[in-house]
Amino acid sequence: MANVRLTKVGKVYEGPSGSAVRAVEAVDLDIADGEFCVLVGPSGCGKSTTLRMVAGLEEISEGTLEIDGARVNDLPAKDRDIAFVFQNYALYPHLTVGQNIAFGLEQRRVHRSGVKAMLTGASAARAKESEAIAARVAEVSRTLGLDALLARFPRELSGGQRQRVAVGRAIARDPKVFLFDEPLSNLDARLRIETRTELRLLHRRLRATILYVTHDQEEAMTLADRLVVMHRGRVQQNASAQECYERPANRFVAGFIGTPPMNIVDGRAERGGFAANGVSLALPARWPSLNADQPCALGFRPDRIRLVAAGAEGSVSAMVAAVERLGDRTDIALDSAWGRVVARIAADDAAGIREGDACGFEPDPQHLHLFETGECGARINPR
Amino acid sequence: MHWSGEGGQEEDAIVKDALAEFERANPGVRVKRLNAGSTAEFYTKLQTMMVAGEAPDVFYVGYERVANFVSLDLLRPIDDFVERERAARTAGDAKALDLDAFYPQTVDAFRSDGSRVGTGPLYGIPKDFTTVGFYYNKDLFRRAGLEFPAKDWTWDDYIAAARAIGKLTPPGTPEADAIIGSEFVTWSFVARAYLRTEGAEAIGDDLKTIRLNEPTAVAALERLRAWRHDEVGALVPGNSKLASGSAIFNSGKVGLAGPFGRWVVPAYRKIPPSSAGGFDWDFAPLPRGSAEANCVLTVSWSIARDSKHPEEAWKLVKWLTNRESQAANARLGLAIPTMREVAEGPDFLASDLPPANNQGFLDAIPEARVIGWPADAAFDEILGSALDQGLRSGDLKIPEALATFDAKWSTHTNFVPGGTAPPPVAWPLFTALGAALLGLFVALVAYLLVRAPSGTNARREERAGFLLVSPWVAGFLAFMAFPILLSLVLSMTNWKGSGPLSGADWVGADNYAQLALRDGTFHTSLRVTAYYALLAVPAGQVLALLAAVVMTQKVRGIALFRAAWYLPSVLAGVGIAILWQFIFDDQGGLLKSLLAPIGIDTPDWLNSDAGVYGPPAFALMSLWFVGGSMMVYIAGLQQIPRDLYEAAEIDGAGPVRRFFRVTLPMLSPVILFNLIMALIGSFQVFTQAYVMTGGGPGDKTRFYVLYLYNKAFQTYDMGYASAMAWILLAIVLALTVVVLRSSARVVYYESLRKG
Repeated sequence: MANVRLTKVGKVYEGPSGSAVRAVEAVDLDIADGEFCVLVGPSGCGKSTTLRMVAGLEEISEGTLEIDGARVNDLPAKDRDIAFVFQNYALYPHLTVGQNIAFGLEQRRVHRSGVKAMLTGASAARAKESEAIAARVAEVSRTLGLDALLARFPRELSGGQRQRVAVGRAIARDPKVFLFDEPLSNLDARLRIETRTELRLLHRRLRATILYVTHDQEEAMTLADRLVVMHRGRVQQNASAQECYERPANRFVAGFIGTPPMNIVDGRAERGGFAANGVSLALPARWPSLNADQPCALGFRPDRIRLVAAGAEGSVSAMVAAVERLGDRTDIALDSAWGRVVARIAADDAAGIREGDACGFEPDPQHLHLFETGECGARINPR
Repeated sequence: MHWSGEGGQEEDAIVKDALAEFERANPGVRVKRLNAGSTAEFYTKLQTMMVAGEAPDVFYVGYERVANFVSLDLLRPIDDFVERERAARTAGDAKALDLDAFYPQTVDAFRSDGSRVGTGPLYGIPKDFTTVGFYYNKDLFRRAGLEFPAKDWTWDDYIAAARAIGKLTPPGTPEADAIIGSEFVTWSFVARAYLRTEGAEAIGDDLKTIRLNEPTAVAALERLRAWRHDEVGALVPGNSKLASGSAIFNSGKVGLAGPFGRWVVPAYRKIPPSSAGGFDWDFAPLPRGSAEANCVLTVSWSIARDSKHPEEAWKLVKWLTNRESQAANARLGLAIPTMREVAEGPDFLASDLPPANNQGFLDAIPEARVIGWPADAAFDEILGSALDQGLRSGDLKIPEALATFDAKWSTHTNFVPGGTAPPPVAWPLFTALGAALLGLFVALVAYLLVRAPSGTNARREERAGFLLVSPWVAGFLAFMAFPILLSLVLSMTNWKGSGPLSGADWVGADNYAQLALRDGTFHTSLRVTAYYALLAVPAGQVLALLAAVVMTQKVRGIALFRAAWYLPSVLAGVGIAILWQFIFDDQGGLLKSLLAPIGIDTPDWLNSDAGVYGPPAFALMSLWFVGGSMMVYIAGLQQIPRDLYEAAEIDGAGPVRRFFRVTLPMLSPVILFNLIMALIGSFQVFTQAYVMTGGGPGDKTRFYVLYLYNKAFQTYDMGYASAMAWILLAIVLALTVVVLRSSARVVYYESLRKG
């Protein structure tokens, strides 16, 4: 196992008519040995490109990539000692499960077949090597519960089984780093959650260094030791999942992490408060850097909202637009002067609420976030 | 009334005028011209029209076809008309036709009793004819200090002149600059005329006894072969198809060219005279050997046996052979008028244009006789092929060539399918069988309709489906199933491709037995085709796949290369064949000229070395057409997911192993498809061989389908050819099954199957 370090890594494509398109910009990333690092972001954010640059499937335009302390920018993929699990698994359809798992080992045989081997009497060594490969395949398939499937062809497997074979092929070689490119996105929702847990357990057992790409923030949060949120080719935040959730580094991360997403309202600071569209809210005086009349955005998560009677002091008046009952909890969409706001409350508290009711809401003053304006407006830290 | 004829542009123009005038002179008669103009396939078209019952009323018949056409009962005897003309003449009608005004040899050429020519009913009025001789380049004769050929010159004079002219340029002069003594074409009728000058014959007057093996004939052929192959500079060597023929004389580097008849004159008249940078030329009749001899090559206007307008047709025949028509033709210079008075008159003799020695053509007439061709069209095929091997390509010595002829001719004549009295084909039975099959089919469809799923919607959809495909089904039945089944029946008959099917006899499996057991040419054609397929299929597929791999690289302008590689596949086959003839030619062909300077000696692909190098030459040429396969491979390559390559790359496979471990297995269904298509295609080689070699020399490039064509459309053994077609089907089917079976283990099919 090994650590992976990206320093100012960038990817520049030649666009139409010679213009340069930057897909990835100045990514700094330090993945510790045995760490499960997840790159997450909307499609087109550069996460897959970053992953493919680490794998060696894309050339690195700028910056340095080190694996285990050695610069590997110019090393071909096969010499980087990494394994890659593809979104649609890329199993060799003409090979059995066993042959698929053994493929990488076969390619790395020291003792080749052929005339030369026969002349030099290397066939005994070759046979020994074959045994070793078979043993390794058996071991890997046992680990993944694939023993019974070794003679099957990929077309005879279910999606989950194929996914496991893809993982098996990756771990067979015992590489320094595992790279996963949206490996769960072709599975149905239930299987995805099961497999997610299995991956997590596998990681713990193997203590492998993993770089994992997904667009699903929930999957990212459940898996990641470290979450790297990307947008427009740049790293937006690089921290633990909890940190990203609780202290999003900017407005983009705030909106991207968490379900349902954080409510964010554009407005401006007032003396001791925040106002948007003529409706003010008193803020606890904890943002020393905030100037009066400064444009900013206020964020609060749906589960940090209290519903109150219409016209209550210190609340924002609203009307219930939609009620989504999820069993233990209920999501309520509110139309207000602050626009559409979603509140998530306990089911018991929502029992009497009907669409069209007039009410008010109060964000929890202990869990407010303020951001500078703009898509990626930085977090304004409270004291 | 319909008319059909063959001839060059100038000749056709004259006939066109004559027809127009004929219509004016005969109100109420309209003549429609069919297939006019020069066409190599004139007789094939004519025969096809006759089979279809659409024969023109009046058409052109060469002397060599008379016995054949009479034996097939295609021509109407015209003795009754001639008799009527004679009576009219006696009664004082000066315009009536006078057969005595024609050269008797030309008239006798169109009498036949069905097996011999020269006796029997008359089947046409000769329109023109020619004797043969040599055209000589006067300038070269002067340079060599030679006398011009005298009226009674001999073969010794001929070869002496050729040798002297051949020495005008020293040996070793590049082929393009060398002066050659003479071109001596070796077409079978010319060779037969040559034999006569030594008192020999190819076949007796009974058109049965083969006389080629008589010592005089063998000696004469040996001498001609020696001239062509052993004397540098004297005669054009045999090993070029391109450098042979009448056009070579135009270059001014050939002393004598022949034996040709009058037909080359219009082309040679385009040669500018010596004073205008060209050269002067003239004609000399065929030299004498032990005898003075010549041949009469003639063409008639004849009337179809089934003509619905015989009276009008006869009028037209008379019109086209009358004094005015003959005079117009005489002025054209293409042939000698058959009417003695016109031939010996100013229209023919007193032309300002060369040749000066028009009289030379006429001088040969007293000793000239028609060359008789047996009714069996295979005689010319077999004789021509044997003489070509012995005299031109030289891959066989004369005795070998004659032995080949004997063997083939006896195989051919000994084969009497169905014995002496074969029963007629039981057409009612087959009609009933066909009707039963059709009924069965209709019943099946009806059953399917009735049994359709009971839901109203489903049934309605089923009916609509049947209704919508019905035009295609009907078309398939009428234009595919019917002819295919008919050919199966025909393969067991002796149908000659002329006349109605009801005239065919039932011969059972005789055609198949002859093919399997005795027809050496058929076995050769199988060998040639298999040899070709063995080379062309693997080489073509490997090349196509490699090209496809290269063409799928992301390189600027790759589309241009793809188009360039695909281009030959859409070009016209005949044009390409002619192009490749130039490439393989042994006299300064492209391959030879390119490789000779770097010390590589190329074989004489399509002639003397054709036994070994002929099929490979065609295989080499076939590599030009891999564009189609390449396109299919490109499509297949683009279907392979890129992940697989990336996965293999990360797994440590280099480009070569990625190709063998990923590309090939993933492409295997496409390879199988292309392989089978190429295999089928390799058994259907025709155009190239037909144009480039005609199957020769001998049968060394006689591909299967070419032989089938020869049998079907040159000797009109339709039953035999049908049997060959079915054997071909069986072979291709068997090969396909073998390939499919043996590939099941190595072909990976997922991309064709669902999931």
